[in-house]
Amino acid sequence: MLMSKHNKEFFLGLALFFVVEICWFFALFIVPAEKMQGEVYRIIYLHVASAVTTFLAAFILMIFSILSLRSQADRWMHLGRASAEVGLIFTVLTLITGSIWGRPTWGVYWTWDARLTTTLILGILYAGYLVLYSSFPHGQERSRASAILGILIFSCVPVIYKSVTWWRTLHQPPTLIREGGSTLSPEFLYLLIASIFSMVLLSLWFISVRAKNLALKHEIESLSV
Amino acid sequence: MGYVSNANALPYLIAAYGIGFAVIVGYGYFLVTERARLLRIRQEVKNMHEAEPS
Amino acid sequence: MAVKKKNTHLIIGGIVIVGAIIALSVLQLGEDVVYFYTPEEASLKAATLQGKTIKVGGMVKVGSVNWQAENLDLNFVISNLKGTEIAIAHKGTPPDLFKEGSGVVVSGLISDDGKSIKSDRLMVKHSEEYRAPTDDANMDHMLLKQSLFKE
Repeated sequence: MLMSKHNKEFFLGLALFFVVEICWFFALFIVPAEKMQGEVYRIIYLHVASAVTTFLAAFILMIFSILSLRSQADRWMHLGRASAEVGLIFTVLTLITGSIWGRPTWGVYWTWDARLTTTLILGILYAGYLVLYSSFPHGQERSRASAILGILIFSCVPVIYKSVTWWRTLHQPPTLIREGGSTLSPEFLYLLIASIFSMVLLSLWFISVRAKNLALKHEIESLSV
Repeated sequence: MGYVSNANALPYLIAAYGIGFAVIVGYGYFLVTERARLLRIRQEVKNMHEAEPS
Repeated sequence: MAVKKKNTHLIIGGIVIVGAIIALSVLQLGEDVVYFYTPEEASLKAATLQGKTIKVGGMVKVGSVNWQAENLDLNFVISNLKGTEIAIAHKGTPPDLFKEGSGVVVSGLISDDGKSIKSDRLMVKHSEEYRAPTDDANMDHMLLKQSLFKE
């Protein structure tokens, strides 16, 4: 009985992973190259998906943080901790893929414009959350402190998103959600949306599994007392 | 000028998607092995408690 | 108590590091609060910007590019498409996407008459448009202009 529940979870993760890989296959080998950028634009399918994933992780972190302030249940803390970790991973991936894409197109790996800088800050805040969490033993204090930071972190996301609209930046303005509709050819648009969805679903699976692992860890620690 | 050649694009594509692949496979692997390890430890702890009822 | 002390140190250390890096990032952003000037702004402010490395964004004027591969001298003119032009002198191979009619952000020192810039870094700024080769739609220059010459 125990095994089959974990197996189901495992196979779900495997399936989600394969959907992501199928999107990448399309991104690299099926959709045509871009008129101006040629082949290198294909990084967009990975870069934008990672960015949306980390924004969503911040939103989820905020929800779990609010829930953990209202209820003492451990589960919200584990879910929050897991969301912050996954958020950090995808922020780093966003920054790295963006940097790799920036070098052959903009000509630089990095610049301190508003979009890049605020995204970096988001990553640092996620890391700060993890540091803060590990500084406290299990309990109310940890719950409160993390929750406050967890709520704060999401406040960065609208700023990051709007940064390319509010300020002059090297990074280009939004491609998907904009007045007048997206500026992507249809085949690019469909694949980008599929890439975003599949990455988001995979990240939700990551968060769920990690949270359960944290709960298991906690259970073991309680049993061992 | 004005265009990123395929030759130039290739290392960047490999780097980006390679790192993406490594990250999600690596993290997935970590999660799965951590789960297996924790389940095993929990079982051991439970066995220990059953062995010495104090 | 040893454990409490360790925790306090961790918290303080964590907050200090996070705070320091945020402050650094914000400060960096602060210096570039005007991330780049338009050609008009830069030429008007040129006298006050002497000695400061600034960024100026504009469109590469068609017909103005002079590239000497032997000594890596790149000369071109940027324009705001409304009459203000600045001559750029750059040393080094330009990015792949650099060409006449593309958007650029140059970093460097502006002359006191605001008519030329000695550039130490050349970045291409492109629009948010991504088109398949068969797609005829083309808003690129319009979008690029909006993004370059904002405000």
